[in-house]
Amino acid sequence: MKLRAKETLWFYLLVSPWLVGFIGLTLGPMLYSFYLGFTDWDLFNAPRWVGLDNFVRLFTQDRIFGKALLNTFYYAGLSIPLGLTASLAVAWLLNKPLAGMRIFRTLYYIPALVPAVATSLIFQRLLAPNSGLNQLLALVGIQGPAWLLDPLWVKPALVLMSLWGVGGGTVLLLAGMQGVPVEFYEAAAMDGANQTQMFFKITLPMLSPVLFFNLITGLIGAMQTFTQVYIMTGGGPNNASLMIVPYLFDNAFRFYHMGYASAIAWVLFVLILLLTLLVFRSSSAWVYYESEVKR
Amino acid sequence: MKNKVVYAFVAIVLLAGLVLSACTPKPTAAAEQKNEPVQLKMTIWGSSSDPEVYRKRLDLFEAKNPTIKVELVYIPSDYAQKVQTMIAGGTSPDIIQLAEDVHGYSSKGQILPLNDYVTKYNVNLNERFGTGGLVAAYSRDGKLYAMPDRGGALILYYNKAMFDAAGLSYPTKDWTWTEFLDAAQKLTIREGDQVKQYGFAAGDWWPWWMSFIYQNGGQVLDANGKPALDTPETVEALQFYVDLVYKYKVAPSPTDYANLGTNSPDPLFAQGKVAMITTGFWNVGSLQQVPDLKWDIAPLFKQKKSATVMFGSGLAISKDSKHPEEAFKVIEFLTSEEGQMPIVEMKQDMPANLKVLASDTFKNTAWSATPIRMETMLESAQMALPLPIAPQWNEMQKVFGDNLAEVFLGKAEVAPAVKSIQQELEQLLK
Repeated sequence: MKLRAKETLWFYLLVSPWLVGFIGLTLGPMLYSFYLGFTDWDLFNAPRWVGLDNFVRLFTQDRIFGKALLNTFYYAGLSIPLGLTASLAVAWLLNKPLAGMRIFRTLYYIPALVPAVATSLIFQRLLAPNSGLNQLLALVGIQGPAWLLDPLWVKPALVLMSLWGVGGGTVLLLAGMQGVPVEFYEAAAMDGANQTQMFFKITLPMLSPVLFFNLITGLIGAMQTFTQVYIMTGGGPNNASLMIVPYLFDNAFRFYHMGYASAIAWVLFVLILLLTLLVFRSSSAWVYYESEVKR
Repeated sequence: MKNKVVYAFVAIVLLAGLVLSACTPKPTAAAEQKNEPVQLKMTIWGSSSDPEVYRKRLDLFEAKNPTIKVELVYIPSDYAQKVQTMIAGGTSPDIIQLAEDVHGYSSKGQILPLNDYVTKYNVNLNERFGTGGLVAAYSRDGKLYAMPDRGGALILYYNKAMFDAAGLSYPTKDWTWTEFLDAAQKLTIREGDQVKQYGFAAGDWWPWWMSFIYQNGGQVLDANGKPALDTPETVEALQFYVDLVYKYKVAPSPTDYANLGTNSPDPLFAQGKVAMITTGFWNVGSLQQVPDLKWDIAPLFKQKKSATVMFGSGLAISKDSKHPEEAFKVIEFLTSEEGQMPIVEMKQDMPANLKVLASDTFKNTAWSATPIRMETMLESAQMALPLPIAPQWNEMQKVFGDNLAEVFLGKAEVAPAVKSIQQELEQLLK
């Protein structure tokens, strides 16, 4: 056997566990769910082909799906920009050369490590009408709402909770900040730039690849929100906090509408794909890579 | 170049081999030896102490039927999902414990109608389980799909010390809403704007509010399974239910629950913060662990008529079972007097078998820290309302939950919500 051929064989052999996993556990089920999206399937009897019925129903008849869709956009639209801003601000603070900074950095990162289930249970107590947050608000004379029980306030409450976990994004931004060459700031200082100018003209552009990454992952994460809703509100009151994935879960595993749930999954997939493409398209206008020369 | 193609092909064959070897062939019935005992598999849910009771009952069966062995599969959480996965994966249990979602299975042909076996083995359903109640609930289009096994009714728990302190006589099945409300008001103790003790506590769980509807002569589904909710009786009943919280203020609202750090009345009753709650027989077990609490049970109050919810659970046979007849023998035994006794002896729950309910063993409560009026259970079984269960039970729950959420929060009117439930149920069940 020639060396080259041997190498090729070894290549396929060594990647085969991954290939098996990908084909058997990801690609296969995905293609199957694509097929199921055009069927009526109750998990037990043979799937019945219904053509585009599921999709037609989703967009023309299903009031609850419309609500879930709007709620998801509401949540993503608020939590992503707020999350990016908050993580940037925290990273900026944590980048200060102060004594004990390591402790602060650890403290800010810890919430990102707490499982979503635990966070949800903690926040359920913190957001109770007469405890935690509302007592703080009462100190400044504001009577807080019943948060999770109030159709108007349940989504802001979930957004608020999402901000607790900004530590994950902060760590990446912090690393990015430390990677900015000191010479840039020195040169700017010599030219008489102040702190604000340095932040917006040097730090921010240099961080744009990290922000870009955080934006994409944040977008995908927010569109797929599940745990908080499932544990804290069950989508209530009256679907005020229902989002796409919990609704998909209900349809698949509580109502046994596997075909309909598959259709929802594909609508969500296409939605995320389009939004991600949009962000990618826009990136040439605001993301700078070091090697790149701006024209 | 050609080599590459060859090796790619080899790799694919290897892959295929891996995939195929993962799917081991299932043993077939034909491979079983004639003289070996028939192996059955039975799935149950419940708390960690439940499997022991089922095992005891199955041991009694196996002692009498050495040719049948039953393996118990205990699924503590996500029961329905896991059972569905087992069925879809071709490893269906033979016997399945089911409750209100029984027709989710029966409508998909997943479980067998039991009528032929009932006739063949001469089981008198009326005598064993009574009329209406669970037998009706587990039947669809005249076919029985599960044998009632555990038959807990919704009953009233009351704190005796609080009743004594208020100088009230204890609740009976002849109480109407008037006496109930009067007692609840006298049992509610306020300090400033804080409620120190609630007269009653319930919430959004369907048995709580549904029993009020049926007591007032309303119904959710009629005898033909059609939604029949939008009536003055239903609206009046739900209005009374909501008024307990917002008008008479004798019961906690969802906001109060959130502040108390629970979503269930049961712990509030155990902590001595509530005088009356309605829940299942299982609460007796947890209350044993609160030695200082003086309490007893009574059947639910009535209005135009007596009505309570039977929830319990039943035993069904999978259509994939290779030994349905043996499986029926098992569930026939488990629901017989002898097979039900361990439920009572081991203080697990309420048996569905009426003879066991009427037995002295069941009425004897020497094991309890406080005497319990066990006649309550038989009386309650006799006032069971026809459970409005349909194959779309879980979706019905969502319709109720969505439409009643704001009503129970005191933010929406009852009548429009009832109208909306009626319309959505008609849409769902058409």
